[in-house]
Amino acid sequence: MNMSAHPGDLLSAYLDGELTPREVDGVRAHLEVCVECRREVQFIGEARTLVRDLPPVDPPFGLFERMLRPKHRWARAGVGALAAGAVASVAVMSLVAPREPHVSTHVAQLVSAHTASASTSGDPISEITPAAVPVSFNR
Amino acid sequence: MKRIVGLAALVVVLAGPWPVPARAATDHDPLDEARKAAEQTPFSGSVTLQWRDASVLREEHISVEGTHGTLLAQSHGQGSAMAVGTERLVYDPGNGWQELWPSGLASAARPNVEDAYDIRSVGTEQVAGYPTDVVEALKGGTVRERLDLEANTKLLLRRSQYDARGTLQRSFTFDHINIGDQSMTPPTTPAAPRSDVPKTLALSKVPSSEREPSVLASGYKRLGAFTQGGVVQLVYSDGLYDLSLFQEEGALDKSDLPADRRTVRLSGHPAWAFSWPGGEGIVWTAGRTVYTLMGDVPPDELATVAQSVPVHRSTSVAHRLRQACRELVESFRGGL
Repeated sequence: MNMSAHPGDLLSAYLDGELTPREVDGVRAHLEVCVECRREVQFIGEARTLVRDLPPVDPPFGLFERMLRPKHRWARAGVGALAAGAVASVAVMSLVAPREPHVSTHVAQLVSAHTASASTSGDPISEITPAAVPVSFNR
Repeated sequence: MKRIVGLAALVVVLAGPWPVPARAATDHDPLDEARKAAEQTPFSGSVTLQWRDASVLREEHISVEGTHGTLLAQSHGQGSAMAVGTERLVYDPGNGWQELWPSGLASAARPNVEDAYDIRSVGTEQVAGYPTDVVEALKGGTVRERLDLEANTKLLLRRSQYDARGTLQRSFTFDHINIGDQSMTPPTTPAAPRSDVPKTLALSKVPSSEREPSVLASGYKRLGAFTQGGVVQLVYSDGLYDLSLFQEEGALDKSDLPADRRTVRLSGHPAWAFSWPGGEGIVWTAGRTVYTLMGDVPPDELATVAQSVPVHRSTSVAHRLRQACRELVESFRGGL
């Protein structure tokens, strides 16, 4: 890891314990020299502690039943609007949010690269013979 | 009753111990012997290739000849492959000859096959009219590969690969071969093949996130890295089989996957497997990376190894949310 670059998203993953040992070492080394990132880690940690420490709240008796079978027309409309809003949010997130650059996995090229490297170290006859069969992956 | 038991004991004593097939450990690397024999021995013949594609066992017949360190394999009127020393070339009618591996590029040396396998001799057989020494390679007590080496020259005449249940997955068999014709002339090498060859890449130049690990499941050790067309190829081997791992940043365009792909699950996530005459491949995504792992290994072992590849999960909450939404929408579209 580049010591001068801020870990950014890695800090959150660091607190979640999702990093590889090497990445953990890199983040720790950076935190030793970067006050700004130490503050951010402290802030994220405190925020999580606050959320975790919130007392559990039991819903009032019959809440779910009332939500699923509301008596009033306006309440039914509200539940419907909420569901429609959730679907719309998912659709917007998936369609409008910026997309990753697409990877064109040209399998035929990767197969050629693999065949070439593999056939130079083992038995050349049995390794090179399959390469004589033209392969069409029919995209 | 006593008389029967006594008679049986007498038979056992007279007959000696039960015949046990010869299963002696060998201290030679059979593939290394086969490689040297292929470089030194003139031969010509025909080979049947078999490979399993899902549950179907496919078959192809190839003519093969070799002399003076040059090998030529030709499928009937369609494709060809050639080895000239360490150079590798392929031909297909649409694109002509293409150089895949230049003669000056050093290949990665395999680890000792006995690091991961028990190699044992199991007797002799006949293949295409020639006597062979039969060698088996066992991993975890299971026969994974059976090799028939011609008794005098050590040319590899038959090679059969099995999965953990003992089902044949792939085979290479000479149906007919003529060995030792010293008057043979080497095949003509193509004059000006298209060249798009890999370059060796120092591991220190590979991003640290893509470099690891140095060892994958089932004893596959990282041998080196190559680059071609901007894609990094990490090469692994267990001494018998080779694996290539490709990692590309971005979102997978599923329309680029092979049409005959099979959807499989890898650690609970969807992945796409495919077969070709020379091996098996599997493609999956994790976070912002597309992984492609392929090799001449049995498919069950490929899946095991794929699960041991450490993936770089996205650490951005926004990205995870976006991915989750996209996967949800795609699942309704039937995008998998």
